[in-house]
Amino acid sequence: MEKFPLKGNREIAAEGNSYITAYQSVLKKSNGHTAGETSNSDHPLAAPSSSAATTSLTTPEDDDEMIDITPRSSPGEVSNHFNTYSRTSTADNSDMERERGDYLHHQQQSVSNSHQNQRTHQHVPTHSAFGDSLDGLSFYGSTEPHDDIPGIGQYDDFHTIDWQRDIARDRMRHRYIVKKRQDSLWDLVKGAHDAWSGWLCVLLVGIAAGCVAGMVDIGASWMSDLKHGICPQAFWFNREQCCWPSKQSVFEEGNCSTWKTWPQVFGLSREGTGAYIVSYIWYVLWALLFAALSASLVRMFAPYACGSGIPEIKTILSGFIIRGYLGKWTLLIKSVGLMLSVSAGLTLGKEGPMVHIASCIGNIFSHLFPKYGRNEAKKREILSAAAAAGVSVAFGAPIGGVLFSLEEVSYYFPLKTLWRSFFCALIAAFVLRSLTPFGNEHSVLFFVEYNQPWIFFELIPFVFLGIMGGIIGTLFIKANLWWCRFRKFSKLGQYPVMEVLVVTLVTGIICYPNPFTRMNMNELIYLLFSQCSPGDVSNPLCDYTRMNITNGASSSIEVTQLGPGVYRAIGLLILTFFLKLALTVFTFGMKVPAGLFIPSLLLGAIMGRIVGIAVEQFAYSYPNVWFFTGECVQGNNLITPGLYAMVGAAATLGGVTRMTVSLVVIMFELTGGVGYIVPLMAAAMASKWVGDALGRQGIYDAHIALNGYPFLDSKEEFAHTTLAADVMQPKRNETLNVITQDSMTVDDIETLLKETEHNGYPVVVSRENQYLVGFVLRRDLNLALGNAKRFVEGINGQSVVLFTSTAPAQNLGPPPLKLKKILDMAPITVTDQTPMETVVDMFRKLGLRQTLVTHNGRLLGVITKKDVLRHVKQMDNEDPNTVLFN
Amino acid sequence: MEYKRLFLFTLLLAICFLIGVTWADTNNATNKVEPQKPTTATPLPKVLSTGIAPSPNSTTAPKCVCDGALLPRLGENELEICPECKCKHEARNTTLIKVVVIIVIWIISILVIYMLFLMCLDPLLNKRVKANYQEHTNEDDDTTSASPPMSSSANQELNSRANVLNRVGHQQDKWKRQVREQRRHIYDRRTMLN
Repeated sequence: MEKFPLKGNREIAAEGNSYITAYQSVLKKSNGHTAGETSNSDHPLAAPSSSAATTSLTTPEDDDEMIDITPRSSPGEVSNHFNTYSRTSTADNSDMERERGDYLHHQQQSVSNSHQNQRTHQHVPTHSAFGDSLDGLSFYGSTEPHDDIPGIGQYDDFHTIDWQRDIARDRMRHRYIVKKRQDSLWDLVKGAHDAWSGWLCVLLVGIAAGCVAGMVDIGASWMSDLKHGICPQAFWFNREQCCWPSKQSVFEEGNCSTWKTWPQVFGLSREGTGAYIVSYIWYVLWALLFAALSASLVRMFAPYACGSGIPEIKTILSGFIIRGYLGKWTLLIKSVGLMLSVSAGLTLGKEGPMVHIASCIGNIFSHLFPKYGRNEAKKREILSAAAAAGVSVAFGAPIGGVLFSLEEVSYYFPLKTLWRSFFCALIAAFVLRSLTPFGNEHSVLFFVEYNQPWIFFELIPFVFLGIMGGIIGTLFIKANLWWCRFRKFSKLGQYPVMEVLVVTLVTGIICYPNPFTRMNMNELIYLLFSQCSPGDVSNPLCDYTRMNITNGASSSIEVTQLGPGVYRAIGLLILTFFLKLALTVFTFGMKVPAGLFIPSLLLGAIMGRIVGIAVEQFAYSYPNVWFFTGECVQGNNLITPGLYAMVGAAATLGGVTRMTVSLVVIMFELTGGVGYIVPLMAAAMASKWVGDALGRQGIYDAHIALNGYPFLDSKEEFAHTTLAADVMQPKRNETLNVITQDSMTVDDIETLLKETEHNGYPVVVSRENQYLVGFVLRRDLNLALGNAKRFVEGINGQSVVLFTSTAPAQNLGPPPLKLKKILDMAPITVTDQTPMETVVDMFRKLGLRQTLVTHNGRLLGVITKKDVLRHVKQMDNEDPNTVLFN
Repeated sequence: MEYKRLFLFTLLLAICFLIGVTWADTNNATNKVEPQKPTTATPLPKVLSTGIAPSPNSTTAPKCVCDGALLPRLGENELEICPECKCKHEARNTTLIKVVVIIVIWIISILVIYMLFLMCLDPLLNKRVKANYQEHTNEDDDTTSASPPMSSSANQELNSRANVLNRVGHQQDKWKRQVREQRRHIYDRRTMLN
């Protein structure tokens, strides 16, 4: 069937391979320099180059058959042909064809890739040579959205993607579009659309992420206050909005007459024991209701919506497929469940899940653009940008979001993605800002208005805070992992909704009596970050003895000496710290949407504030110690406890997540305190050192390891001395399942497919001479065989399957089945003596799915990503069977 | 088919109820609020006034207030404004808040109703329908894929209506299968998201 002269046979090509053939032949033609001078003259660089790249593909006898391909055939004609064709065949068939076509591209491209890698010739010539060859590439006329065929270049659930193959496919598609742009105005428009579709996509993602985040913020703040009371005149207001005109503070509810607490709604007075009990009960009941709703919605509609999502996003971005993890239902349920679980007063934040929500949005919007929706590697560029937008809207920290995506989440982050992330984060933050969910003129969560300088001596407490943050972070990770492991392997995991309810009940009962735990965590963090103003009497943390200093004409009031309220507040804060630490350990990992940023920020802020007050009192009591002299104006308050809270928060978050750069940027964006970068950096660094010394992994990596996601961490080094031969499959006394290039029948291959479960098979010359020809994927093989049996005449079980272009001499029996198109002729190979360090590096940096191992040029075995992951685990003395993988 | 109709009916009822409730509430609320907040639709400025600062050794009046610092002063007999009042300006779009909160209530209510339906009614109805439903599944598949291009227009209309329902049903089944799979991963085998 390779002999079809393309033009005449388009309509009658019922078995559906003619386009591929045509394409391949065209390729051969232009590469072989027998024709196509026009194209080569367009690209003067092309002429001398391509022979090296194409020797493996070029078979001389094909060239003359392809003369009648018109490279300038109009696009309309082409797509018409394709449409007629696809209507006559079933979806399955055309699906198959597309699959093959794509695969073929990969095949061609990987040839050029490998040559580029070997630097046998320049990049540009290869590029243009292949670009020229795309002239007659008719089936690419179908890449428009309207003939959407699902399953192209797709992978099965829980498989890893082949980055090289996907990126090659995209480059091929791009070249085709560039080439076609000269044909007509419409193609020019289409080319332009293709060029800007990445930006358009992230623009849409940014807008949608901003809107969703705004909704979640507003909804969550309203529902959180629903636990305390209601605004009868306008039920959609939370307390702050309800008490808009009157003075109010976090602690005092007295002055607001429009806001009705629950006892008031039931006709009781606002104060008093009875009212307290009623409020208490209502608080707990509402919390239980919200938590139950959240847990059961998650269980019913989208189980993937539970948890923080960042470990999974990390895994997905590293090239793993989890179907439905970024779907519509996950988005909806995660947003709603997040609002509910935050308002239930559980110790969790909504920032981590925001990343997941934004990634869902990214995934959904990427389906609008086939360039991204159908190509898993390209889709991950959008997802990286979306993750940046997620953090951007969660904290109002756009640059922090970009850096978070770069440092923590993304695996493959080229500059192009960096700029897109930047843009996406910008748009998202802008949209969120215009919705003003935080209610002030700053789009950030915890704006600090002070701008006092810090003195050099303070670096010591800052570093101390960093160390403490690292210790707390490690403790938290250890405890949380222990609990999660317990949940995973014990009966507890069978009662996800019950667990949520119990934790909520305990949280509600414990947290209500303490005013610091009763209020929202956001409010508490803000309180801890802010500075006491002279007139602040409602905040117990600001119960200082006020002094009045008259300095010339102006008089200023300074707060220095602690009053009894502060001692009481510190006691409560210490209690809060331990409560929240314990509760977070049990909360994170429950089957509700739950993030970790806010609880760890809170823990750190409490610790920092206490340390800050201690340092402040020290400086007040001993103003003449040598390191204060000169810095300290008499009686002036020079230590800002709020700054310590900030630094402590950063340190703890750093200890938990092991972020550095993005953490500092998020923190100063979060607070607007640009002047405090150095303290934050010192604390983040100290916390990272201490954390890494105490425990290797951050919380996300630890959860990835716990769940056994196939994540090949590029941060860690592989320091063992094993060789490829030790890792490869099959082991010593097993046989390698191979397909021979021209002697196996369809039945043989089907038996092989039935008996083995490998995802791909190497193709060799013959059983005796196991010289490598190529690699064929199980999925392709299945589809190809099924397709051939249905649509190619005369194919039966005895047909010989050929992976070569020349048929064997004998002509007895049924016609052979040619499957060269699905063969990857350029698989990456290593020798058996290659150190595993190199192999692991190749897997990480090239994003391979498998590599073939040869010895003296003969095929010896295969190393898949799964083998590598298991080997890494084994070397680290962990159970290799926990890797989640298909 | 029947259970689907029943479900649609209940959903419709629920939606009507919700519309009624929210509309009534909105009406009541706006009526009441209007006099107090004349510009509900525009961002409202807000003056947060903190900082009552009694200063014993200053010569100014010992009592002063910050409340109403931005309001026009009518009489002279009022307390003086403190020198250290802090003003904060905040603005929110109250219409947006209202719309968002109502949307949120809506979404949650619909989800809860659908969840209750799936939990309570669906198993009962499915049990009854299952017997003849399963037989038809394959046939339906064939008709959906093959019939549209060939059938006559009248037939097509009937078909398409049936098909829409079928397709919805199929989609729903597919989705349910997916969710069941997810649940199996997370809650039963606990291989993920722990």
